[in-house]
Amino acid sequence: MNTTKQNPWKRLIGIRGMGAALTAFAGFIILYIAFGLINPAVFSGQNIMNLLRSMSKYLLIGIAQSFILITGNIDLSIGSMVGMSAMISATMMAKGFHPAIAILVSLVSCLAVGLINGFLVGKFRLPPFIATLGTMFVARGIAYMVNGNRNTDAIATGIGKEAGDNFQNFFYYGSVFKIYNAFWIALIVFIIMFFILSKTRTGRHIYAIGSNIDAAKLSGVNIVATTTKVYLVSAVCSCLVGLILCAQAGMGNMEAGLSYEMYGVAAGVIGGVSPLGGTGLLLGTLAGSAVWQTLENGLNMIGAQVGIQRLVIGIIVVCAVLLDVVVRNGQFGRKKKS
Amino acid sequence: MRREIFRMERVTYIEQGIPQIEDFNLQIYEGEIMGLLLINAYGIQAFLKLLQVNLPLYDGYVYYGGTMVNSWRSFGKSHNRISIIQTQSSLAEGLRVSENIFVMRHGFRQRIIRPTLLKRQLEPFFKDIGIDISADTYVENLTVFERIVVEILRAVILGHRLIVLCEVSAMISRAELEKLHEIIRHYAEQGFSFLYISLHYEEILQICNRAAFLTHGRIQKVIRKPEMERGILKNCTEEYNQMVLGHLKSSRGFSENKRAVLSFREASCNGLENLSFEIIEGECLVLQSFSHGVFQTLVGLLKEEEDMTGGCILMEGKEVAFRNNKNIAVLQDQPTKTMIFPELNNMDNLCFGLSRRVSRIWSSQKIRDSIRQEYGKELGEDFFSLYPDQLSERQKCRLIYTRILLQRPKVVFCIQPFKGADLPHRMFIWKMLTMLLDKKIAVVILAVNMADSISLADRLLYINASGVTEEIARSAFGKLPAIVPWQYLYEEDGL
Repeated sequence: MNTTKQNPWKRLIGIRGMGAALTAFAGFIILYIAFGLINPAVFSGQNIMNLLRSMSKYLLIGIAQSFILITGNIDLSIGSMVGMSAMISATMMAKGFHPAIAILVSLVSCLAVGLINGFLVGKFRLPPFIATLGTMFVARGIAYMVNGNRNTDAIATGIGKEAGDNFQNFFYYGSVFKIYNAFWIALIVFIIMFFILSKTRTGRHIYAIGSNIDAAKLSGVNIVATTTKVYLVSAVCSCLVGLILCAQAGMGNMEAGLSYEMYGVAAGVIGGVSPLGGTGLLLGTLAGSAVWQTLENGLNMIGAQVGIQRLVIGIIVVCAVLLDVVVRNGQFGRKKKS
Repeated sequence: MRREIFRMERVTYIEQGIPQIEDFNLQIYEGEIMGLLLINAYGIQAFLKLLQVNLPLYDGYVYYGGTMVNSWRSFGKSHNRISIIQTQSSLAEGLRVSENIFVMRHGFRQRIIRPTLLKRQLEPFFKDIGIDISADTYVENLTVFERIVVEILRAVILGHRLIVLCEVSAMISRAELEKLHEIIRHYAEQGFSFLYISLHYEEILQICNRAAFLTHGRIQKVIRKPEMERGILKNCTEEYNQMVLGHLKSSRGFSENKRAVLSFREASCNGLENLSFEIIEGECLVLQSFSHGVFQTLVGLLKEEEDMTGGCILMEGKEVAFRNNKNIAVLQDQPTKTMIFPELNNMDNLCFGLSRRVSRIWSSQKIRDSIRQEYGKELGEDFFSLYPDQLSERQKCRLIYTRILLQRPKVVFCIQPFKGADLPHRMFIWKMLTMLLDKKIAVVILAVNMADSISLADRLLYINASGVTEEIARSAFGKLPAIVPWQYLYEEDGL
């Protein structure tokens, strides 16, 4: 082996998942410019702000699902947790509870679902698809039951207009430095989770479980604790998205967060998070959610039908996963050193 | 005149521009047990592939059952009716033994399966070889030995005239191996031919009529039974012999008077009772199980899949838990496949050992830099930013053992460390294990088959369901059966 030091750019590119993340970023830029050339309103400051705000939901969901995917698992209950969080917080606020208490109760509820998911998958080794399918129905059931099978009234009817506005501004409509709060929330969560994943022991354990669970166990990784942690991360992110949706609508919708778990998978895999586990960077998830939102936003702006939007996004997701499988099979892999 | 069953004549096979086997000649006759000793395993996978599927050849001819089935001139990608029995089961899980044998074959025309009829048809075959396996057993419930027997039986019933057994001794105990040899001889007498692939000459000596030596994708030599003697391999194994002899003669500083670092006191778990033994600092202890079930229980215990139901484990006199113990490391068999994190870079792979002691290693660049500095000369500067799939088998092996060194455990449990390794690789593993012993780390080798273990061992313990049945000190290794590799060194030199 030679002893020359690699240059930093090569080292950066050499990080597993970085190539896919940069490709997704490049895709995002190309898409954005392409849509902007068709409709210059895409480049407007207001549209950029709106795009970032809408993207925040997908980013949070993407972070949640990416954590799970990296361990080689999946969380189908994310969308239902979003709905549950939105409904619990909205119902409580509509009944006059202080927003802080409503937020706390939503968070605890979501954490409980995350804890159950973590135990079912980590401790009892249930297939994650089945375990989270079960909790998906449970959480959605709770979202329906919490206000007697109907959507809530406006939250301002319970906590008053001022408190309602404050809540809505904090999570959705307010802005700092001309950027909406929803994006700031997502960005802060992103930075924290990025740090956890790349700089902490827990982060390495998450990758190790997805890469080789047996070796991870023999290397001292506590599989149950780490699996539970990732499901708790997923629960926290889902809860935040629920609160954002509640703030956006000013009320609770029983159908809030429907199919969001799949949006999370899409954001992750477009950004290079492998659904087979072990690989992926949150930078990629950021790029993936940007691609997703740009597609939605851009196709809207050029007047494409919803069906076309879904079709295009579907094709991109399949291509991203296909690329991952092809790369894993070594067809694009570098030659082994002798 | 004996009838030829299989012949490879001057075969050269190239994959992705690299010759896998070159000028390869091998002939197997009807009713013969042909041995294939892997001095160097290069090309064996390609050879096994060519046995079953007629892939395009660069040169040469392949004959099976007297017919040319493949040649450099033409190929049909057709399949040869040859069974290969190896570590990976070829039986369909979720189905019964009888279904695997009768239903899962071409030409089975019954639309409605009649289990009692299949059972009745199968019974005489089992009776014939003196094995009692229920035809109704689901294949996932079979022991490894039973699985091998069922695969042989399936090959016989399918009429495959050539059956290839690939390193079976690494999977079954000595008693089971002896029984398997009986079954092989029985079918050979009936005209079935066997190709017995092994890494150990001692094993081939026991069973084969002729033996071929494979090295670097070529058959180096073919010998007949009367020519089979241990000295014939001298040139190939000289370096290894010298290494082992040197090790045996030198005192590593191991002394039986040293205190025990780890003790098992009447440990019990699923099918294993009262297991008691001690491991001394810097000692190499081999635990050999004669029962595959007991071996699996021990492996389950090491892999933390089984919990102890009784007894205790003491480390330097204090009771400790086996689970998540940073002073104990476990190396699974074939560690270059099972102990690697393929998606993490080599530095991260390496740090997993140390992270059990220094948890801030992931955030501290300083510590990582010091590892880079310390091991950079040995492993190479760019090693750390590469990924395991960019390394050779040997580099991967070094990575794993260096990871263990960084962890600095007191005891390392190795599950069949030599399994599936050819001679050069075994030499390398041997060196790595010696490196651990030199650092005063006790090594416990868990084996169903001795392989190269006694070349390192200080003590040997036989284990069955009721615990340790016999302890053999190094001074008595010369009395071990001749089938045990390296036994002759102790016998000849009185070591």
